[in-house]
Amino acid sequence: MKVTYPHMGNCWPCFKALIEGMGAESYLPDYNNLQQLDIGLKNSPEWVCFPFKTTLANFITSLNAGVKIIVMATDCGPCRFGFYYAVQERILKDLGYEFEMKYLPQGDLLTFEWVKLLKSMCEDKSIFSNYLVYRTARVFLMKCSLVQDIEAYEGSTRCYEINRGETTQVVKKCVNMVDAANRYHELRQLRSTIKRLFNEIPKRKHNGEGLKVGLTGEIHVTLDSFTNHDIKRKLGELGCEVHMDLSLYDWIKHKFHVNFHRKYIEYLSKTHRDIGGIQMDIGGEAFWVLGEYINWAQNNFDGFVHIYPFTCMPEITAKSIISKWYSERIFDLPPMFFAFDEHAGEAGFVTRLESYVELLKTKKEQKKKNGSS
Amino acid sequence: MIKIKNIIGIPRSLLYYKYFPLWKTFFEELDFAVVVSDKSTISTVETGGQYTIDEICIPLKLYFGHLINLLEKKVDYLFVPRYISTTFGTYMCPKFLGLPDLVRGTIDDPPPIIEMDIDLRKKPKYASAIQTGRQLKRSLSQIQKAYTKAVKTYHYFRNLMVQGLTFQQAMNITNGGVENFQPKISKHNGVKIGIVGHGYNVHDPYINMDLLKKLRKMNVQVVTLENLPLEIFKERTIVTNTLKNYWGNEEEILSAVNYLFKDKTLDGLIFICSFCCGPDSLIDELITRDAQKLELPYISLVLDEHSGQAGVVTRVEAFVDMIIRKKRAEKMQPVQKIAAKLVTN
Repeated sequence: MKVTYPHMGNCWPCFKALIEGMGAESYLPDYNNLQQLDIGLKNSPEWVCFPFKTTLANFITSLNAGVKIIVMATDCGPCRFGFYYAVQERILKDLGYEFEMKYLPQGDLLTFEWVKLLKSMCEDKSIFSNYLVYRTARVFLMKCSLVQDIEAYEGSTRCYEINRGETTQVVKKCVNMVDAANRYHELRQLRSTIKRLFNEIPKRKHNGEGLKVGLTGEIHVTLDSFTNHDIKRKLGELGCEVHMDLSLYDWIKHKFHVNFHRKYIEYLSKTHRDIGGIQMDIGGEAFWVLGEYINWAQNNFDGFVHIYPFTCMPEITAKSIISKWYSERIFDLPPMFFAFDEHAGEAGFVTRLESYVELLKTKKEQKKKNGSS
Repeated sequence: MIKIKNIIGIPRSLLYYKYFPLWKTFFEELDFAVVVSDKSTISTVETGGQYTIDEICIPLKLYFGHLINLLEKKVDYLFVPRYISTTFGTYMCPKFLGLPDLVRGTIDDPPPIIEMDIDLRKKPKYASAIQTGRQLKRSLSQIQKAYTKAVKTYHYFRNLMVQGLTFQQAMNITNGGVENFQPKISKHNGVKIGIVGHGYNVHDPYINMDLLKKLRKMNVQVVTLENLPLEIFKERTIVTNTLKNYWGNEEEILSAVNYLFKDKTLDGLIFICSFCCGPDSLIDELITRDAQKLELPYISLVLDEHSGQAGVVTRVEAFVDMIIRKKRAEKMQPVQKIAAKLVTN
């Protein structure tokens, strides 16, 4: 039984552990690239959001390699994501592929519907499979948490590195290490190894003077470095400490209703009702993007980058409100918005990012001057 | 002493095209005057565009244009409902969910906003009505009376549309208070075209460039979503074996499309959607594939504020011409077959 799943940045070891832990064979398509994307574009609706196209491209590549089972996550929320797997199944079936589409309902993980999916991948149908599910879930959560660690270290290290590109290499190495370890105790030891590896990168002396930039947005775009043109690396190389609360682990914690950070930023958004704080989850990450903006503004961050796929409905709502807040100087945190789709030009994007970072630098210097005088 | 009524402003956009008779009766019964913004023009979009960001869909830009228009009219309250779900187990588009927040966030010092949460997943309709009425400091008995009357008016209005009237006609009759109205059946040339789409796209003559009128001028029999019998909207549509649709507006569109596909007399289907509309982008794909299987002529018109009138009209004209030719060819076929037989013999 060969099972495939779509890419989402550095999260592939986690999904792989989920499938291989249940005894199935996993197939990982090549990381998103332009040739693959072309196939996806040809077969997807014209103005659907971008993650649909990249995931469809992943599926077609895997199907061409002879995979018969696809696993795709789904939601029951108001945004388009819940429709992805059904429409993709329809498109792929019309293209003449024969396969089975399995969906992972993750609207609320406490309903434990995902257990059914995991068991369906397991050949062993006895009561022992329950233990297997428990073990797989534990390893999966541990891997997610490690990937979150890696991404957090990556954001805070890159802007101070002396040899450019070293952090990127370490990240790759760490992700491969997470992928290779399959037992819980091995993974536990990895946590300190990862910390050591990042500490060993030669850094220039600093007392935290790098620009503090918060990066947030729609989860797939924020985590997938192909989709967002590696914005995290580019920001880091321009000298910004990138802070990102978003990760797969964060998301899963939220879906198990134990994410207290998200609860806090929800509260922040709700309490700013009079100036337009969103009151409920409207799909995507809009609710938390607003809360995150308030949170970072209160914590004296220097910049805020919000990224989302073009035509994403919830994020646009958040964007409208944030740009209004900044234009009226309710919060003193300059936001920057990027919408991504297949037509994004690299040069234009980099120029905008560079000028934004320059502006942030000038602003910070001015603040310092005003403070000292 | 003359008692001056407080004025509630309702923008002529989005769900106005679905629920306006209900809202109007409800607020008028609660002793308020209701003011609707002017009809959409190019300046509505332009003013709306200044208040929103450029990526947002055109109905929402129009909505803000209408809101600004209402502010100029000096209304005491703005009515911005938050429709979360209209049938059990569904959601509306995310933009409806965040609409009051968006209005509060983008317009400077708006008049008090009447925020009505309609969430049938959690509470019944009358609870929302009571909540709204209490916000306006009205007594429970008054609210109950207003609510029953509003629902009655709404059903009357809906039934008028089921009988085949256009939105504007039904609206005029409901407002005029004419009862037991018998609609006339207009002439047509035998071509029947179904038009589906969100109410605010299909019935707003500015967004769709008066498409309905133009089709009627071509002597085409037009069937909109609201003209279909009410029973078909009661069952949840199934997109695939495993997925049930969860969007309120799309639920209607899909049920209507499923019903229209079974209709043998239907000659073509037009789907009007606005650019950037999230749900429609996927629904459109599903309908296209279904229509292809059935070999039913189908066209989806994607509209935004930049659409040229000539382009849309040309496309629709060509679509109608194609259908007429197809019908003619079908009629000719038996004759040709006989002729072919004669020749071979």
